[in-house]
Amino acid sequence: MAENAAPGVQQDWEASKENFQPLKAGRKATALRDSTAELRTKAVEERRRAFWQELDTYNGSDPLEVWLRFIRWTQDTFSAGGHKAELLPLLERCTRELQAAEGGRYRTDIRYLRVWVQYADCLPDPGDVFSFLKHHDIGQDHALFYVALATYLEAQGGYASADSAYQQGINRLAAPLDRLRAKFEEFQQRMARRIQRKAQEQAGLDAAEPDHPERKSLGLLRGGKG
Amino acid sequence: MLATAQATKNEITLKGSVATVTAFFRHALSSILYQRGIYAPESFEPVKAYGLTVMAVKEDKLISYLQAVLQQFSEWLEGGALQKVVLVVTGVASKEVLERWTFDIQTDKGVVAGSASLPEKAESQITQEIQAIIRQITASVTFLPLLQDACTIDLLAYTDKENAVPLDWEESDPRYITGAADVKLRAFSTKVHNVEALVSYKADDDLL
Amino acid sequence: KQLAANLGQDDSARILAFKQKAPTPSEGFENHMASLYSANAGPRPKKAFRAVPQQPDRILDAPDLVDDYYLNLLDWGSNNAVAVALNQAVYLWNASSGDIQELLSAQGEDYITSLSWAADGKHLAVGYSNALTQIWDAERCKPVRNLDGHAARVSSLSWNNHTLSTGGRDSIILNHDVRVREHVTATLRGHEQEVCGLKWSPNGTQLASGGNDNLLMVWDAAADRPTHRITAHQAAVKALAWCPFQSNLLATGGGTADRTIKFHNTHTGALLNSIDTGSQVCSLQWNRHEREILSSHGFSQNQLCLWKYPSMAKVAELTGHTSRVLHLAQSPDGTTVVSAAADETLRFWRCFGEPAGAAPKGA
Repeated sequence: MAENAAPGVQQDWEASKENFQPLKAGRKATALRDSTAELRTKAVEERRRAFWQELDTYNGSDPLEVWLRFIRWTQDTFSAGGHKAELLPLLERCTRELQAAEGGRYRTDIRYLRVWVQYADCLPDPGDVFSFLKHHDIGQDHALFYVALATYLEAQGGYASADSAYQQGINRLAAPLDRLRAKFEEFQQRMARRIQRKAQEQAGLDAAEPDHPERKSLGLLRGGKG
Repeated sequence: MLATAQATKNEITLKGSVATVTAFFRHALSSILYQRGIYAPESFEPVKAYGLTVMAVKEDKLISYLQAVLQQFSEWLEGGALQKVVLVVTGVASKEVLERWTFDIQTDKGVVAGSASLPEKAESQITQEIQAIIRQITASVTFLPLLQDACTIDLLAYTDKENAVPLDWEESDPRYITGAADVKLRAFSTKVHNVEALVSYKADDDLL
Repeated sequence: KQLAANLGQDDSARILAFKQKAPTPSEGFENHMASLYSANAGPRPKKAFRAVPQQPDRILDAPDLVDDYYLNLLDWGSNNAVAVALNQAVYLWNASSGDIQELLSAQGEDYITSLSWAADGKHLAVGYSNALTQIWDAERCKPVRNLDGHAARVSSLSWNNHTLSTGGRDSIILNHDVRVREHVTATLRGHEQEVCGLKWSPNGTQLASGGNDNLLMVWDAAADRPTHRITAHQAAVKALAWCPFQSNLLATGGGTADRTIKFHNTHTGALLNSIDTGSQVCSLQWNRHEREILSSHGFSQNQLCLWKYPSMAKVAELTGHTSRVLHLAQSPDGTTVVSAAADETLRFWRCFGEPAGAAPKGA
């Protein structure tokens, strides 16, 4: 690929910064090369096939380890997160296939829960995922489950449910409990401020301009058509 | 870039260089605090600097904290004693160091001693180099992990051994991150001071 | 050496920490960057102000569409043909007849990095990864001109009568007069990184350019220095759209670290409004029939958003794409928008409604 010929060119990652989707766990420097050109080559296809084959023929004791490498490779290679929507089906399949792993051995494995949470993070509405995990008692001893669930609920405006999610986790002594407690405390402080803010808004409701943009435009729209 | 190559060169004085480097630290540190989400967005305001819009600290407590640090930095810089500045980001609950922004400083000791002739460099050239670092800080979301828990910051300074320890400062360990990933960022030089930036961060899958 | 300095102990240095503790972050900490990392960022709009079809009218496969933010691979010509570049080939889809035609295919390692219809709907400008720009006669399926001058790939194109402007990864913009032999009439320097957005204003008096350097520039037609150099965005600026009902009004969208749509007065350079959309803005199209603007987005929701202007209340959210929606183009009659996404599909949305005066369609 033609590269910028100007002296002192920016490092590759910066020239392609918009082709990297932020990852919660970050990216290592070695994964910071622009792979869009590579995606058009056969090598990527072959590597992917090799992973599937490794999974098919695997007979060791920890198939999850292979999945984790596969997922990481996918994130690094399809760095824009877009191309053919590679990651989502992979997370879906990993979570599904390992449910049946001998005696539910991954039920309590934090690595397995992390894959589930990553999966939930890819979905606009992952409510069902959390219900499923709860129903099948997957990852229920980890603080991560409750934090992820409560974060989602809070973003949806389900404050009471978020509150109870934190409490359930604390009651269950999910680990690490310190972190769970700290996150719960932060949540409670946000709620306190929210209630305060609402009270203030209520008080200033007579103000000439309603601060809801939706209302404003409804007026505009009616004006335009009338 | 071509335009600046023809720009007039300025003599770089020690004082001028110290001011440039100190201002850089103010903007760079503020940008990091904003971009990493360490403080709420309400604590910042956009200002113009280096031909960019950068996020500057506007909350009083934070301003005076940075001011006190920068004051000391500038004294050290003037004496040529500042070797490194490190911004350490630590999780409040876990006490774990999550991120470490390092700025290595090389000083032309001749200029500090007053024995060397003053170097020349175009102002616009320096500005452009600083611009590039600030842009990289803004773009660092490309590879840095999300700081999911509340974090605090500490500022470290590596100074020459023969310098006395100011009252407001105390000796510290370097607060390294175990198993860190590093990304080297750009550098800028006033020809009196040369500053190289680097960020180290935890990049484990278990950070999810 | 850097590594050693970083990891090793500096015997010559004393490590000092500032004793005063930094102010604690406000209580109820919540990292405002978190939405960048997750797809479940918040509730969907519940109200719609106008019935907007939520389903695409039609879906076409677009295999091998390159998932690169910086390219411009989709355009809808006045001849009612949609041109799309899929890696090495350019295809034309005739929206009237539904016919598909392969216009051209690049050679060797080269791939298409941009395309743009001239106003006549006959000529298509095509930019390549090898820094060349070509003009094709789409009716005769023949290249009619080669335009060189760039040192890196040509990522953005915009026509203004006989002038074709090209923006490259070499950070320069060239104006070509496509009629004359010495075609480069101006070299516009100002950007410091790849020029990924380029749009002439409808009246042809101003050129807007956006780059990976986070800069937006506005150039007057005859000038070789930017009239305005706007630093308001905090990420690459690719999405550019001139308002059809108010000259001097330009909408721009920022990349991942920015996520905003901004509105500018290009006479004064003033920033009129800015809203945070919550995700990478890839493309923008104004509705010619209503005061609305449509945006397309990347991670996390890969959606299209229709906004009322100027209130910027969300009118509708169009979902269905499973990867980021890199490009938008609208039909000559302004009723339909086509989106191209990294999920390798094109989707057609009748979201802009009928021109004013046209009889409303029955539900």
